[in-house]
Amino acid sequence: MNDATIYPSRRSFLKLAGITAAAAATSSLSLLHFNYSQASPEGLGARNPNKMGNWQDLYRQRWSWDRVAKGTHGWLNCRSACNFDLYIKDGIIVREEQTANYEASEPGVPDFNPRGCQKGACYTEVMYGPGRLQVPLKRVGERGEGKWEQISWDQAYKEIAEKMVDIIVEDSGDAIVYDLGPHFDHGPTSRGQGALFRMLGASLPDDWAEIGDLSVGATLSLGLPHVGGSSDEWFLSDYLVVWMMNPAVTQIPDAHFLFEAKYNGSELVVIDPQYSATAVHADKWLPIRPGTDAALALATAKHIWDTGRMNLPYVQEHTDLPLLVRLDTGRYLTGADLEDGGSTALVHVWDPERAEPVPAAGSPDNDDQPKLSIEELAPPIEGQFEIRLHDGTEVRVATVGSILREHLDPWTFENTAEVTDLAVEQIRQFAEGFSKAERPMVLSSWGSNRYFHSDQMNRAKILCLSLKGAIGKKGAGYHATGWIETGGFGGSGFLGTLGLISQLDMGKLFDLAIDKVRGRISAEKFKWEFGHEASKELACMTNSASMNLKYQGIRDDLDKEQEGLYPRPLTEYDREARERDWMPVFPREKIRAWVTGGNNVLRRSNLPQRTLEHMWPKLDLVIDINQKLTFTGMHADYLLPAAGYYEKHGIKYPVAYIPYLHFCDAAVPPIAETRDEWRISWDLAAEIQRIAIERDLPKLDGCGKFPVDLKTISDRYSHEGKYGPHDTKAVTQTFLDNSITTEGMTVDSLEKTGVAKFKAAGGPGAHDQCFNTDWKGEGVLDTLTHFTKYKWPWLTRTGRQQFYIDHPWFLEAGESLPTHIESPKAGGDYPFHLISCHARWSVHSIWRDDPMMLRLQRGEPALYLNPKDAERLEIGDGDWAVISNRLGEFFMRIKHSTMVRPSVAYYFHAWEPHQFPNHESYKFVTPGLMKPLHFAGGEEGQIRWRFAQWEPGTHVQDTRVAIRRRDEGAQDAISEAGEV
Amino acid sequence: MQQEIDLIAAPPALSPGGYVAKAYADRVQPATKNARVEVVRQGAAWRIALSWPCASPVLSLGDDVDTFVDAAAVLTSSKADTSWMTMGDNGDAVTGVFWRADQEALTGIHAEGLGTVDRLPPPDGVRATSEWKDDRWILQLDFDAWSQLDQQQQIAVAIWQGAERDRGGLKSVSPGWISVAA
Amino acid sequence: MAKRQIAMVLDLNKCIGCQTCTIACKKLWNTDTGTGYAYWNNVETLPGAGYPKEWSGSGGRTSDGEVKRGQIPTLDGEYGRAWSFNHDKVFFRSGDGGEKKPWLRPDRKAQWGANWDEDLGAGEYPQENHYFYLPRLCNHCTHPACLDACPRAAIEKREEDGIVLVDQDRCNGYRFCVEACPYKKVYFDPQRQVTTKCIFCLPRVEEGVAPACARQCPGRLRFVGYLDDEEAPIWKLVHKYGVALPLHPEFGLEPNVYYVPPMSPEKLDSEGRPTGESRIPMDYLVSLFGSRVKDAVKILEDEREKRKSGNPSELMDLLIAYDWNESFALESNRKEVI
Repeated sequence: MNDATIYPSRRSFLKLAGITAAAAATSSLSLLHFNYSQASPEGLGARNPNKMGNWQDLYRQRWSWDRVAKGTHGWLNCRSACNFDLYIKDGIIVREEQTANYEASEPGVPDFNPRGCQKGACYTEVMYGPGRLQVPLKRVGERGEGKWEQISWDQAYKEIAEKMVDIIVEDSGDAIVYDLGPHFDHGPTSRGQGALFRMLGASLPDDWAEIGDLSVGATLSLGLPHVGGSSDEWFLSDYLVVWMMNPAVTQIPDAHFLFEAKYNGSELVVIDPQYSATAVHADKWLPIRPGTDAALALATAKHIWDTGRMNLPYVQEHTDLPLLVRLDTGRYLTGADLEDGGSTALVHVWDPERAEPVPAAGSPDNDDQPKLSIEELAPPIEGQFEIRLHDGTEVRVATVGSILREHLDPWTFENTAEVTDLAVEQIRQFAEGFSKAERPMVLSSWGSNRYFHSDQMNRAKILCLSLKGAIGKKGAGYHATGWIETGGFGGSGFLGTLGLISQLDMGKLFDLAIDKVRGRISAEKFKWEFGHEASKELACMTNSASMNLKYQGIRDDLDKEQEGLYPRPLTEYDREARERDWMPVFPREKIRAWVTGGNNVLRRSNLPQRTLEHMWPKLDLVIDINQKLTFTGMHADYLLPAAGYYEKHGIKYPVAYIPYLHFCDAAVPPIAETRDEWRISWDLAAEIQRIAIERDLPKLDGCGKFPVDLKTISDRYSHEGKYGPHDTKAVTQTFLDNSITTEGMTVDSLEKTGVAKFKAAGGPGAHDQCFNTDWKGEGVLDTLTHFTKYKWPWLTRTGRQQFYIDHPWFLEAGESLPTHIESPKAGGDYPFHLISCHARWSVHSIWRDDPMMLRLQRGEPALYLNPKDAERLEIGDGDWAVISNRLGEFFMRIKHSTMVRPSVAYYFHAWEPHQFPNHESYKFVTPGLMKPLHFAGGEEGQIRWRFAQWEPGTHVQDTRVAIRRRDEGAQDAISEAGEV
Repeated sequence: MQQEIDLIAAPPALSPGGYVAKAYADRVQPATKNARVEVVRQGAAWRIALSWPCASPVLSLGDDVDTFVDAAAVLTSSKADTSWMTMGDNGDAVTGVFWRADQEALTGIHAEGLGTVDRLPPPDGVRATSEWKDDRWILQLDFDAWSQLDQQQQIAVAIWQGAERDRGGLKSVSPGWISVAA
Repeated sequence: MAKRQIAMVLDLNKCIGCQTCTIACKKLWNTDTGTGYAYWNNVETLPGAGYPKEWSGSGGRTSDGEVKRGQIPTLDGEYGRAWSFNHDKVFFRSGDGGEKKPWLRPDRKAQWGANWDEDLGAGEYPQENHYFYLPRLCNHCTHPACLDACPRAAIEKREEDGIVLVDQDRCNGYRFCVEACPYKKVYFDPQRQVTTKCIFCLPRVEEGVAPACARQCPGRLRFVGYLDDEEAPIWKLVHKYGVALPLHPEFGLEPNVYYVPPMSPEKLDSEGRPTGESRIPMDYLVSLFGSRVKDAVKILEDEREKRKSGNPSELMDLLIAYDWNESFALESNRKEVI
């Protein structure tokens, strides 16, 4: 091997790349500050302070710039979006500062300014930092060995395109996996990569649940998981419950609304085993035992009921409490029970006057009453009745309410105190406050879904809110991060004008359309179903967890970890789900290539040692298209250097917290040889088409759903040449033109303002989760009024908020109702509960290795222990500890903190394995349990696979470990490195 | 001329501002007890050799923030009775050179009273060589010419021990002007 | 005495410890080699040793008004060094026989840092464990100890706004100011061999733009303006309602940075029952903000009760800061256009 081809060191590499300006910026950016000409701060012109008069002018010159552009952190999996001014000098962005040009949504509500956080305020450190990739690299040693050669883009495209074509020819498109998330935007980057790999027929794993972010409990209860309006809606609640969320750390730009609500007279309660940065500002902090939140919620629900503070009309109209359930089978009483050939979807309530079951208003197949209503009949929520089925069988039926009430009976404050380790008085005060509130609101983050039984916790929390009529009420309800649809993702961005609509199952869509025309379903429901149908049929979408189970070598581990928890082993549920086609799993046969847009699968996967051992060797090709080096990139074959957030056009993915579109300008050209992903995908498509024509390839197979025509892939990617490799601005404009949410927005105008308020909450695709058709960009964005105001049925099997799940798997497991189940001891019966928290100092692994951020931590990963535990274990603050369970062990430094509950160990997540000795992190002992019930399907309601709505995931919060002091004399990686 | 001089601590009470005088009021012993001065005149040129004991030399600050380097100053007066302890007075300057262990070049000094020290570009025609050995600093200053000294024929010296956190008014000084007359 | 005094109020009930202020300041003023360790603005977790470690009260004055000798903190032990990292080694191993798997870490053992005891706090879990965040910057004192300490008269308190500045030309790097400041908010730059400190974002304030730490604070907890401006929030919080208090008034320097003291959730008794008492001990708050903090907390609680029962409260409205722009009352011919 030629030494000169080995990447010698970064500094000399920069010289190779010939980028003097950026290199200077990286090593000593600050020196440049003193040398600039200046201008006026008015508008966006340059700022020119006075000529050097005295020493004070040094400071004046430091705050100066040539020009200002707008930007945000687009291709980043951060739920916040914040408008930033980018200050540019000599072609370098020297610093960024929030624009702060948001307005208050309505009078009497604080404004959103000045959204931002410490990471966003120094993205330039990452962009010009030591982890930045600058030229295409090809592996020359073993994977993970760290030996690279610099190659040209042309060579990279040629080799990669040929390999991918070979794979599709030899096998099929789905042997290539394009790791969809969690990084994505709603702009050209997602459009580029998404379209290319979709057209290749590549497997597109949906990892929403895999990373533990999917609120399955909300899907089960409401039919949709991504519930929640704008963050200023928090301000309107009179009883704010932060329940499994830490906004002060994970929702930094929005957290102020909580504390301002407090000043406005709201009560703020934080329920968290950790005395979190949010809890310190609460009125009440409930230091609950980890994993027992469902118990507290059940006690609260019981109290609401017992005290008569339930909103009965709401419960009768919107929930399943009045629905009848057969006590012999546990299934809902349906039309098929009462009438030969009747509908299995049609559910019933009890009509006291007629003393018989009648179809429930809003039930599927209730053509007479397609909407929710209690005008004609306010059905009882409690009662047990004898009825005769159409076949003459006499059965007992009971309302869900009756079954639920009995189910809640044991949850007295005393029993709940036993389970939760809270005092009776604390529980009582909480339940009293909640039950008396006019607008109770629960903030329950993505992080609330990481326990094995998180679905139960969230079902129970939502139950409390439903009993109070809070769901779909302004200033109240369940906040789990809502979404606003734009043209750039679920709709035209995904499908574009690619001419693929014809491949949809038109029969199914026709039926839907008829329903719509007849007023049986709403326009939103039609859109919703259509979107999901499209993403299912037009792409080889797979759920990640099933794919991981198939390929990552973790089946035995998980079967063992979950032994005895359910009637059958996990892999049996998985097998049944695949056999019944409940869960799509791709690749079907072979996995041969892994392509990622920076999503760092080896960092985020549980037991990555298994992935490296079992899946990685099967891959003929691993590509990381990324702005920076990650643990996954270190184990890749090709590293394609991507443009940074300020170097390409983009649209930040739009969460409802901040109902503004956030635009990313290509403020400066990509440094060195980096390129934006739209262009990289464009170039790859062109190369693939060239090869296909050269080889005269026929139409090939993707994943059995649609043909893959590589001879036209570039033509289709570019819309028959309409969009060239540098036309990201035009592509962005196209997205804006194609959604009612972005009506009238132009890139030209966004270049000046950076943001624009959305014009509506629901766009063209299936990802609108706001369901507020009245909102037109004015006022606080409250949600779900589609159901509560317009009385359309909820998106569940019953058309109602549903707390009784009669799917056979749920019945078999005894989980038909919200209930408390102890957290299983994953990894073995060890004394410490290892709990993952989202980090303050990084957005996942971005910023995790940034020196500016690390200097405000301790420079290395730290595991937080209560000082008493640490003292008992004789582990000093900053000492190394060995953390282990039956899956392995790793080293981590200990940090003492009184916010930690004894016998809990917290880490703040997303440390890269290469930040640990032996490159082994906590992930190496975290099995990531998968709840078998979430593999279920086969229903028309909420329990059927749909992108980011219902699918199995992984749960890291049940992990148990032993912790011991590292023996100072130990011979290990730490001593070898000469560290202490 | 060659002379062994006992040094005194510059009186902290003379330090301007409200802090040093009070905070360091107890600093009555000089950090450097004595110094050896040797002055040779050759035509217009002056050679002044100054040496003093120093067990822990500090040659540079490095990137530390709490260290001070060793330093010395040799000054002469405008008048025979210029006030030395106050660094001169308004219209009655002391002038000379200032040497620091971490700097090649000397700094010119001009002061007319407490707190008025102006640092000037290094005077032309003066070179310094310094060496630390046997627990002593030896500093040799070669002036091509020093007309002020020609006139006044007296110098005063100040020494700062970095290891003792000497700086500014915290210094060991000659008790008064030293005659350099042969 | 300055003719007018610019001031800042920080509402600790809104501080979330995100350190956007720290980064805003750092990126703008202290990215040079010599100031890598220096944070003109930092946020520390209290109770805690802070930054620099155990800074409190080294220097300043005794309760009798006598000058106290202070210490200069050390780089590694008390400030915390701006560590370098080994990215090159980790990412690009060239088979040079070095460590097989070097992990990404500081170039030397980290002993302390600007946020070392983040979230440490004090007290037994869950009865009375507590902590809160305290952002700190130069207090631009009415009687600055640093100014008093400089034998060179290199430190100036500006007539027009009371901003305290170190003349970068006059400074000789003696560091008496570093010693004397009991808040330890003057920093020595070993590269340039002068001391530097917060300039209250002088170039921005001159243009009517709030200091970076204040304007970039997503917690919206900072107010900036002139102490005598009776129309603006600063005067009302400091003088009208008396809820904003200086840190360590006993140091005798009359700081012009004020804090709205933190409230906290209820303590629990040994059975886990809420006691109605705040977790942060009042004695501790008194040790930070003086005895006036008792009144301040009472006023905050009373005004909040008013609001809870549906009555108006100007104080609560001010702290909510409905219109964020109004938090900054700076005189300028320009509006917030940047």
